Amino acid sequence: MAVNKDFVGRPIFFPDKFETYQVGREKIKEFARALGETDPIYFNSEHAKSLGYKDIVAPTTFLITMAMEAMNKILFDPEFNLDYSRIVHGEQGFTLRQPVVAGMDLALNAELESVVEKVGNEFLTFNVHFGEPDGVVGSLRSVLIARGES
Amino acid sequence: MSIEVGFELPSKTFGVTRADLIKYAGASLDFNLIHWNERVAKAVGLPDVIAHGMLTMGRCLQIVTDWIDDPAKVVDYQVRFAAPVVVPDDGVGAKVEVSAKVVEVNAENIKIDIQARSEGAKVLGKAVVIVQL
Repeated sequence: MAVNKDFVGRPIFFPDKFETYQVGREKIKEFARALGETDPIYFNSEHAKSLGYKDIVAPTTFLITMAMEAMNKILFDPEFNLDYSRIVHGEQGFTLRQPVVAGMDLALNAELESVVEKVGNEFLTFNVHFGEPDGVVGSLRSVLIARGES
Repeated sequence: MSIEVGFELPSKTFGVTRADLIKYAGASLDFNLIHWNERVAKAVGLPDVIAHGMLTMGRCLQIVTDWIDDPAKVVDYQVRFAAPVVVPDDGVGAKVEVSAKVVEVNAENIKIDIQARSEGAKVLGKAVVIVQL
């Protein structure tokens, strides 16, 4: 059961066209707690400010939360023809030009870059770029593997 | 601080329970059934419920962020998921052993390789972190 390659290269609008994602302070804390983080840089605004940041800082992997929602727009589209329970994570990378801090309004530029078949599995590569009006924040790359039936 | 190539960071071990997976699913919005539903995980050919790759990736980075004074100095982090971390519902869960070594030092940054194993299997491959100095 192959996925629909028509989705390759099509821009993904998240949260929506011309809408930005606001990085929430409580969302950062929730994410940091789920990773078992204890460093006050993730929880205490005054502490983060004393280190020179505008507000609490998000863990490096935090951008996956909004990227995942953007990718889900394709993954859960019935026309994409994917059984989501066959998905496992193959590779993941983050590149940050500046730390992600609470209060940022991020514009996402996301796309499914390619679908490659290898020994019965399909490798889906997504690229997501994050920016603020005054500059680049960072990018991530996700390779998801849709496992074959056998 | 003088850092040399070959320096080994203090190793770490962390546990992953089913409760950790539920908590991470909620925080990360990754509700893939294979991370909490044993029936579905086994039906798609997995040995049991497996941890989110992103939970393993996030927790393994702590070997680096515990060592540096400011975790926001991590500017790049790439991993390949080599094997799943299988999380049994036995009241104990999975254990992941993490080690890390400095592999490159230059004027602006240092590069660190992370190794992670669970149940004897290598769970991360090519896990590389770049920390800005």
